[in-house]
Amino acid sequence: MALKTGGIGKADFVFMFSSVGYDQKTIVKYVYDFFGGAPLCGCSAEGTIAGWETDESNFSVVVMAIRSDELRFTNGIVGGLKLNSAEAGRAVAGSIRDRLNADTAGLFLFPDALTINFERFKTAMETELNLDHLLPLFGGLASDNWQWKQTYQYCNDQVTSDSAAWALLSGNLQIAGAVNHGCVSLGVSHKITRSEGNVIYEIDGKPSVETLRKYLSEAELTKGWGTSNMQFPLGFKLPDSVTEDYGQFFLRAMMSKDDQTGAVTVPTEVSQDETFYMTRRDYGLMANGINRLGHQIKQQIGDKQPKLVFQFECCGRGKVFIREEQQSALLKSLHETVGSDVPWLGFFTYGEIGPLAGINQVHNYTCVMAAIY
Amino acid sequence: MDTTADTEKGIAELQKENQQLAEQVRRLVAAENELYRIQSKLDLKLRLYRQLYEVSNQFNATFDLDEVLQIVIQFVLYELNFERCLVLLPTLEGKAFQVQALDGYYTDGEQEALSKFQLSATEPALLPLITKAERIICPANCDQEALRELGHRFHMDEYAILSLGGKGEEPIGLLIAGNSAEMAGNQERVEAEGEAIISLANLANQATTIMKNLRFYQASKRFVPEEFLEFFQKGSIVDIALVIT
Repeated sequence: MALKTGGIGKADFVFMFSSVGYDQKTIVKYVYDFFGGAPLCGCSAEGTIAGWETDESNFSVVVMAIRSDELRFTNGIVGGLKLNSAEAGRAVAGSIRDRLNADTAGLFLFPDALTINFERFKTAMETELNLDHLLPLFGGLASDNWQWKQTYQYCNDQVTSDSAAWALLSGNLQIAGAVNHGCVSLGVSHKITRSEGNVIYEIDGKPSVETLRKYLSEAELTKGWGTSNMQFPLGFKLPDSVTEDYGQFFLRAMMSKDDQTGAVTVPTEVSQDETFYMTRRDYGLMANGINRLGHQIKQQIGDKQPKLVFQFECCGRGKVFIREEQQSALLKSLHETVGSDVPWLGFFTYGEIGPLAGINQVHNYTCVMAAIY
Repeated sequence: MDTTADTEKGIAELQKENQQLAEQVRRLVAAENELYRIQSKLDLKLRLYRQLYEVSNQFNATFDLDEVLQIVIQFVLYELNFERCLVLLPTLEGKAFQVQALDGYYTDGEQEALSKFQLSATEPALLPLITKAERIICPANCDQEALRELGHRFHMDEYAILSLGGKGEEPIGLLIAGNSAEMAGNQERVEAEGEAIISLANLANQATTIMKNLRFYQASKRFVPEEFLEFFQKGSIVDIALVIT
């Protein structure tokens, strides 16, 4: 289908995202063999995006086959994120160092959401590379249809967990990127009173889960955890310089909780004594944000037509929050702004990766777009 | 001095007001989230309602039993999202039900074996259906060993068996839908009061009607001239009434 749609005989590179109802090894092997062993990069997803169509069922898969004289992708995978995310970051740096050229445009990254410490991974990778310019990172944290048990990363016909699949993009091209969210503060601030790395043990002097009881019912805290926790993003204040396009807060999802200690885990490290605001998702803001995203991309590419577009969308902005037809309408309007006939691929993530104000970041509750032109 | 005290009092009042407003917003957000949850349930019901309408259109467009059974199976697998589905029809002697159609995620070996699978009409676990119950439900936590053992025979750890035959009548077939334990987490779960079971029952009723019509149509072929049957297929009820009178 991907070959037929693109009108190409053979693929140079393949991107693939699939929800976890499918047996991951079987489906990746099938796609890899189908494309004659072309290099393949991707990960498991909560849902998939192809054009302006989304599918958040447990059985959805999207594939983009690329054949180009202008774009060059090389790919790889690194494991051991849980044990040492920094070491994994350094390993990626070691793998890509010799492949970096003057025309390298960016690195696409698809790590395991459940085991990566993104801050440590990124810092170690960037320190090891020691570049005098930003190597932009784009991508999403692999997800597993709200099961929060195991995510998968794909490299060629290899399927692993606790790893990060990557694809380095070089060539006669540029990447236009944009990111924003649609959350607003409830007007209540809280203070992190005990934390370690990305684990928040205490909020306002009480175990984190105790403080959450103000917001979530007992059923939501127990049976409903996995989707209910997405209702209340933690918002960390951002400098005014970046808030106009992005939104007032850096948002963090509570990815997991520990009932023994009452702690919650977020994707990046937080500081003790840091203050955050409880926020909520707002459909109007999200719709405006999508509109703004399209215009930001358009502004960067000017009159050029993108060769392809990647969209990494938070699963908290998917079917748990808006209806399918609303989602389709938003995506259609985005397509109309950026380019209706452009090959467009993406997935619903547990975290989105994209630069903000010149710094590579992992985001929650956002849409990250990368248009290659 | 008074000014400072007034300011502090003012701040305290504003803080209190902010707390109250925040509390109200928190409650509104909880209500909003509950609405999202209900809305998504309603959307699902609406989607199934529409799909059942589509299915009834497909049923009405065919006189072929195999096609009817395929429509049933496609609906069970791809709309209701169960992993596996079997339709069993009575053998010629009527002493057993034999698989007439099956599909879903099976290994080749399982599929081959199941294509010849039979259930005796006197199977004790089927007794409720034979004695005119509409369905048997065996959820994952079922405590009836006989039902669990029955499920293992057709490779399902949770399943529903629905009678094709109408309420209070002996079944003219059995519709079985369910999941293996390994895949259940990714599929529609089998729950006695679940929406999917209601949709399955609705589907079974529609399939029963069309199968009875087909049976009547096939039987009538032996006694009624072909020209009349062709006319029966194409003519309106008014035309047919005129011909008969």
